[in-house]
Amino acid sequence: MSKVISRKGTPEARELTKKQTELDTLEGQIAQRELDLATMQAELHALENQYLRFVGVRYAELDNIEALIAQLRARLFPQDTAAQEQAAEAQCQARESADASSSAPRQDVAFTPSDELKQQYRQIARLLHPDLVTDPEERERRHRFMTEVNAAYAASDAARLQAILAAWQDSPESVSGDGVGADLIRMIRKIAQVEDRLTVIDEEIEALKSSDLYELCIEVQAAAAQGRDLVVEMATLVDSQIAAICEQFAGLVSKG
Amino acid sequence: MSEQPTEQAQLIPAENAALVRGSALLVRRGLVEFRSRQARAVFERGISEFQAEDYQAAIASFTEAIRLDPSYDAAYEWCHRAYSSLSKLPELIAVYTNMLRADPASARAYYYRGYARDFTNAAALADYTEAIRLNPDYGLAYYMRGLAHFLAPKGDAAAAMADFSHAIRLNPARQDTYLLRSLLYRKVGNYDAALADCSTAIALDPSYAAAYYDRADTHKMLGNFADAINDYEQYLELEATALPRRRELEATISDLRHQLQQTQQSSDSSTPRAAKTYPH
Repeated sequence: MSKVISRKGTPEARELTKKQTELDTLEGQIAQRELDLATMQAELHALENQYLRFVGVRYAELDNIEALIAQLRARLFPQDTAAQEQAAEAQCQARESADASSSAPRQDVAFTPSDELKQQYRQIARLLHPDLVTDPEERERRHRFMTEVNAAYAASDAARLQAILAAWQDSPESVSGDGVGADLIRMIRKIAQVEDRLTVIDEEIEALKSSDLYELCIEVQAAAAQGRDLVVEMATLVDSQIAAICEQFAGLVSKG
Repeated sequence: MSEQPTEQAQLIPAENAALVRGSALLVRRGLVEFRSRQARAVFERGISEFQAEDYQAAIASFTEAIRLDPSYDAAYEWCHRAYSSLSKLPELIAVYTNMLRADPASARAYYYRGYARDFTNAAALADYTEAIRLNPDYGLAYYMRGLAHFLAPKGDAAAAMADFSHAIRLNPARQDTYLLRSLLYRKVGNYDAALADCSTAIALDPSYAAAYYDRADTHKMLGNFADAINDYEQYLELEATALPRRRELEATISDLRHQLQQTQQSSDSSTPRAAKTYPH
């Protein structure tokens, strides 16, 4: 084969250099997009927790009182099948709200990643992104590392990120195959993988953007820009509903 | 290639789908309630602007209220009024057409687009039909389609009757549907049903002047003079009618009194009273 004579001059080698440049650019892009996605997910998750702890629990309380009222009505009018059905439904709703709102962690962890943390994430993602290799086993191994990385990033845990990176660097690198042709095929596959992943990330971000949670996030940010805390405002709104229903409940009890 | 997609960290406890669903529902609920409260505030602003005759500003406010709460019927209605005040209903039709491009399943957008068209326009009828297809429980859409059938130059009385009956089933507390149906019953000679519909409308709203008037007309046609007099008098009491019209009605009443007297005199003692009396 001619590779011994002049590796650089062959069309495959020139193509390989071109593809390497292309992949370098894509590496930077994929690291950034993974960061965007991970940031968005972590931000939304943090907001969800905050929302459930402040507003969700109040809805659970409201639903609980409503279920009590429905139960009382059902007992006052045992012949009224609609009242019986309503009581069962209200109880179901109350249970669902209680479960959902209590699923949030106790303490509030706002997600405000520093620029250093983001930089760290980008570096790591660029280094160990699963789509930058073609060997199935190696990809699988990198998947596991990326999952860890995302979790550490969501927890704003720079030390853990550093530890993951150290563990990664200690582990044996997979050996690349031989020959320019093989390299070129590998390179083309890597590029295709990265491009596929970029599309998937775009879709995931779009899906997140069409969620209610994202809309809530936008509203919360807009309110914050005006110096308002929307989550607290929403909680107050439910409080007033609770007060109103309590009054109704008291009325019903005094009648019963 | 059969590699798995890149795993992302499980940020939401996905092992429990019910919890994820429950949380999403709680978020939606809060968002909807918050937006609806915002919508009400914007709507109130729109009303003030409307009252100050700043229709352009009012349109912006009502449109924003609809965006915040797409189920806010009052905002659609006032938006219609504001466009109508500027004689710009064709523009409003275009607004709804745009809205339908973004959300083709919006029964409300079809309904209010139909509402923005001329009553007797075939396109209005088509819009109501589409609204009903998207929301088979849309009582108002049946009502308006019935009205469109009713008012069309070559009105389809049977279709109008069916729509009004459907509207009544869906919204039995709306009194004017009974009144419209009673007119159709009267047209086909079903006077008992016409009287019953008027009476239902009056039962729902005892101060509903038009219902007394229509019932009086039907009574008059049937020769129930005493009942007709009663109802016309009720009507005059409730409705601030213009003087010429009032004089005309008073003349009708006195004419009916005269006829009533004549019937009473001509009838012998074996038939004490007019055969038919109807509930009020």
